[in-house]
This record gives sequence, structure tokens and C-alpha cells, in this order.
Amino acid sequence: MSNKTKPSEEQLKYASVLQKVSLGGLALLVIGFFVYLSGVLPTIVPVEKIPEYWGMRVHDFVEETGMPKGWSWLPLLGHGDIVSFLGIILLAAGTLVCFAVVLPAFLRKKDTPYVIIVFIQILILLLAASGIITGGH
Amino acid sequence: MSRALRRFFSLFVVVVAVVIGLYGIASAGEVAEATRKGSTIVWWMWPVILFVFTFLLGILAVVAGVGGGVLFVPIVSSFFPFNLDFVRGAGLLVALTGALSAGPGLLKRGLANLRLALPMALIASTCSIFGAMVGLALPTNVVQTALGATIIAIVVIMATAKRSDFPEVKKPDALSTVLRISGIYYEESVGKEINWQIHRTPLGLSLFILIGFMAGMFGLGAGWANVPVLNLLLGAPLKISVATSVFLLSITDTAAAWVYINKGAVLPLIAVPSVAGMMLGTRIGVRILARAKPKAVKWIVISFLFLAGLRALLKGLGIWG
Repeated sequence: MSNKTKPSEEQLKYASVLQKVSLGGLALLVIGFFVYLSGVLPTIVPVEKIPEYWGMRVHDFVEETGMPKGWSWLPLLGHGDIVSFLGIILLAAGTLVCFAVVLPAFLRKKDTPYVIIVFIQILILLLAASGIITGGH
Repeated sequence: MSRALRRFFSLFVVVVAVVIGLYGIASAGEVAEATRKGSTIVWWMWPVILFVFTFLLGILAVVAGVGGGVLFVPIVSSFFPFNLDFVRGAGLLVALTGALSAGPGLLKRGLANLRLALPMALIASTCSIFGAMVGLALPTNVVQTALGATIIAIVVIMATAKRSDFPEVKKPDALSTVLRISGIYYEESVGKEINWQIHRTPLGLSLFILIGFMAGMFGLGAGWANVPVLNLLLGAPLKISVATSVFLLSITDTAAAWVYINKGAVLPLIAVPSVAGMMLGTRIGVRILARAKPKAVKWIVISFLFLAGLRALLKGLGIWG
């Protein structure tokens, strides 16, 4: 690859962090799922009961099962169904981590338009992740 | 074999696929309905069937050159007993993990472009949050009807959209100049470095409002829309457009996925087998691609997608299922 076609420093940094986070997320997803299925940890909803609920709308599912919404799963980390959720959380958080890592690179280059874009993007993702905004009933 | 005979054979394959598909979707719909009412199928069979199904879907998606994310929601919501809310949550995760796996390699090789993706991603991800909120708030039949209509529109786009390997951009627009969106990449097929720039950036950005909204509302990957906008409208080379579209999905779908996660609409029992099946299937699909006849497979997949869209539309309208 010649110097002209070599990706920018921030692009390579983003790629490197994204690779690590997504691999970690996928590994955690699979491990967490097997922990959930193995039954070694207690569950909020037993895995064999899930089919009774998966035809329901999510609002009714949460109401009937008492499954946590937003970040209220944090104190319930000892449960199998929550452990199986951790990989999903890490995968969803990966992009946010990448943006936090590349922001200083754009700042160093005094690339104002992209500093603003990345900063707003971080705020948007934080807002989505916070659980402040949700749809539904 | 003569050209006319080959055409007749291709048409025959598509017609047979459509007939089998119609029968399959009708039967699957009945099975799914029976399960909702309490069938004798052992519960753990569904995740196993889902894994096998998404594995096959992953192979077909690669061979046909169609995004797995766009196939997942309409087909799984037709074939399986899960509520559309959970199917959309899993669909977003399927599209997201696919994009996260491919993204780093595409960025490192300089095919996906960060400067091109970030402004589009900001608009698309913001709108995908609103799409997800609206999708979870509307009654299921309304979302199902809109999904069906959207899928049929996507089929039309897939069947008719042209692509341009190296679109001609005589002069970049003011916004892309300010944002310094341009690049050089090595094109292996012609053995030389290609300079590229884009135009019509404001119009492209405004289209990402709609693309993001639909991705969030229906839990679909949005490659079917990203690529034509990046390639035909903005004028980015095809390889740059496809790679940047995949990377873009990792940001758009992340934002929408958070809404589904926080709402409780991502069930690991549905999402994990789907993600695993699709990822394994796409890896096998890449190997099969060298020996397969992508055109015939593409038409079969598009036919199935059309049928799944039609079923979603009729189901939403209360006519079928």
C-alpha cells in the first residue's frame, strides 16, 4: 500500500479499537449464552418459559415477566439471562468507545468540522444508550 | 446451451422458487400461528431451527450479494412464532454484528472511508433512534403493513438499480470540499490507484434522514439504500460505496439497537442463534461464492424477499395470517 492510499491515522485507530471491541463482544455473547443455557446461574425468567412470552409485544413481555428495562439490569448481574445480555451490551457500546478514541486525534489535527461531528455523535449515542429516550407505550 | 434456453431455465427456476416459497411461507405462517396457540414443538427446537435457518440465509445473502440484515426481519417474522418487536431487535443485532466484523478490515484496507461515513452516520444514527421509537410505539399491524410495503419497494430497487464502478464527478460540491471528503485507493481489477471525490452532498445527507429512520423502525440493515446513494448520487466508486455502507451500518444500527435494548426487545434466545447462524453462514457463503452462479441465486433470494414482503403486507392488513 503506497503512502497515498494509506488510510489516515484516525481511521486506523478507529479500525483497531473496533476490531478489539467487536471480537470481545462476540466472545462474551457466545460465552454468556452458554452460561444462560447451562442453568448454572439463577434466571429472572427460566429459559424454557421464554417461548410462552416471545409472541407478545415487548411492553406486555416486560410487564408479565418483570424483566428489567434500561440499565436496571445492572444490580441483577448474578442472573443467567442478564449474563447472556453482556455481550450484546459490549457490541452496542463498541462504536461509542471508537468515537471516544478518535476524538483526540481529530482535536490534535485541529480538524474542527470533524471534532464537532464526532462530539455530537458521541452525545447522540450516549443519549440512546442512557435509556432516557425509548419508544413504545 | 443456447441463450434462449438458459433464459427459459432461469425463469423456470425463479417460478419454481416462487411457488415453493409461497407454499413454504403459507405453511410456516400456519406453524407459527399454531405455536402461538400452544403447539407440541419442544421449545428448544425453535432456537435450533433459527440457527440453521439464519445459517442458510447467511450463505444465500453472500452468494446473492444481498445484505443479511434486510432478509432477516421480513423472512423470520413470516416463518417464526416471535413477535415483530423481538424480530426487529434481533435483526438490528444481526446487521450490527455483521458490520462490526467486516468494518475493521474495510477501514484498514482503505476501502471504507471514515471522512465519508461520519457525516452520513451522524444523520442516519440520529434518525434511526426516532425510527426505533416510532416502530415500538405503533401497533404491530401498522408496522407490519409498512414493513411489507417497504420490502416490496426494496425488491424493486434491488431489481432495477444500476451501479457504476467509477462514477464521474467533475467538480466536488462546496460541503464535501469543506469536509475534505475525497480519497485515493488501489483498484486491483485495473491495477492502478483511483482518485475519487463526491458531489451533491447536501442531497445525500438529506436522504440519510429517511434511510436512518427506516433502519431503526424496521430493524433492517440499510445497505440496499446506502450503496445507491453513495455510489449513484454522491458519485463514490462502487467499492468505496459498498465498504463505507457496511461501516456506516455499524453506527446507524448501534444507535437504534440501544433503543431496542433499553426497551427489553432484544431476547438473547432469539438474537444469539440468529447472530451466530448468520455469521457462520456468511463465512461459508464467501467460500461458495467462487463456484456459485450469483445471478440465479440473486433472483431466487429477491423472489423470496418479495414473497416475505407480500406476506408482511397482507398480514398487516389482516388479509393473510
